[in-house]
Amino acid sequence: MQITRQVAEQNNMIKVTSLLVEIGQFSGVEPHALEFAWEFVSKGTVAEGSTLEIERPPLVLFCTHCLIEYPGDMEDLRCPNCKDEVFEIRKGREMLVRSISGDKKTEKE
Amino acid sequence: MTEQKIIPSEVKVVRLEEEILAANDVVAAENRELLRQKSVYTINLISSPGSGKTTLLVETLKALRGKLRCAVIEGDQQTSNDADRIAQTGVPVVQINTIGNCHLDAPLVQKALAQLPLDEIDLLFIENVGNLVCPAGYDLGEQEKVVVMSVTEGEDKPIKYPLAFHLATVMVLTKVDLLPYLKFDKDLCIEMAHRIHPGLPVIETSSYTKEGLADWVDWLLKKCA
Ligand SMILES: Nc1nc2c(ncn2[C@@H]2O[C@H](COP(=O)(O)OP(=O)(O)O)[C@@H](O)[C@H]2O)c(=O)[nH]1
Ligand SMILES: [Mg+2]
Ligand SMILES: [Zn+2]
Repeated sequence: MQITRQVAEQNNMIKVTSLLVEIGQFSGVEPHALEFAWEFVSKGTVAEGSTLEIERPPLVLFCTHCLIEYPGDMEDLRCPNCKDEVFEIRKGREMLVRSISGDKKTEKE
Repeated sequence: MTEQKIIPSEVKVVRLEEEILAANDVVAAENRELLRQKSVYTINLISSPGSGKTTLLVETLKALRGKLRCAVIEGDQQTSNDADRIAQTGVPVVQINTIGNCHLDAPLVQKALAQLPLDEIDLLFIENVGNLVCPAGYDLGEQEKVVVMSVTEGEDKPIKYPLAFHLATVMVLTKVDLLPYLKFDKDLCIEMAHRIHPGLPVIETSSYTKEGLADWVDWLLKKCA
């Protein structure tokens, strides 16, 4: 919300109509919960009634032993090849506002 | 004649790629730096409600008396019940009521830190709001996240809430005194935790029988050494 308000101000927006956000599968945030919360916090602000478009990048892991990337199984993060202990999260923890769209205040003769 | 007209529908798209938690992370970094300067070791306790965090803390604080100077930040949506229980041990405690929020964030913790005698503290526990989802996502400036889970919760908590278990550096399995009365497959639970976090140390405790408390206290003492 803080980000949205700032952007709206800086860009002379009179109304924020939609937001594109990226919420990784392994970010700990549930899209439904976010939509619900957004409706609540945006009430009475420039962003009231705006739509949230949520991208959900899947979890991608990397095994530092086999040097392979593999899709993360949310119930078992270990490397399917070696079941090794050392893996890195390559994707899936993102929480980003990618873009904000709105109507701009314009005065014309 | 010229007429002033407002054209309302000029659509503007602003590209951002901005981290949603950037503001939180900035404050978390400030907290971490302050705690480092004051040599305060900080632990963020994350669990479901009722897993036994406050009870474990009370026993832990008693066991650490005379060994480490402790303090506690209590996060709850409402009430100061938990802070009152901690205060009875004589340790400094600050209660944060998050009201509508299901987690603590770094600015709330920053305010609480201002109320603590940091120069006289070695080990600070932050009892997060009972919830395994949101608290995991918010860095508070702590050194370690500790996930607390009781044997009454079902074996599959680690795979239902993987982020908390993935980020924790130790898992405390509480209420093991109840194991004889439950159909709780402890080995399966630990195995599931290890699918999410291979090698995660698990400390089994009971705040009633005091079983395992010494292991937990040793773990803390080692961290603060
Ligand atoms: N049997 C048993 N019950 C416990 C133990 N620790 C806590 N409890 C009970 O679990 C309930 C919740 O404990 P509490 O510490 O308030 O949990 P919190 O919400 O995680 O802070 C209370 O009724 C405690 O008495 C334990 O080691 N064994
Ligand atoms: Mg509690
Ligand atoms: Zn591997």
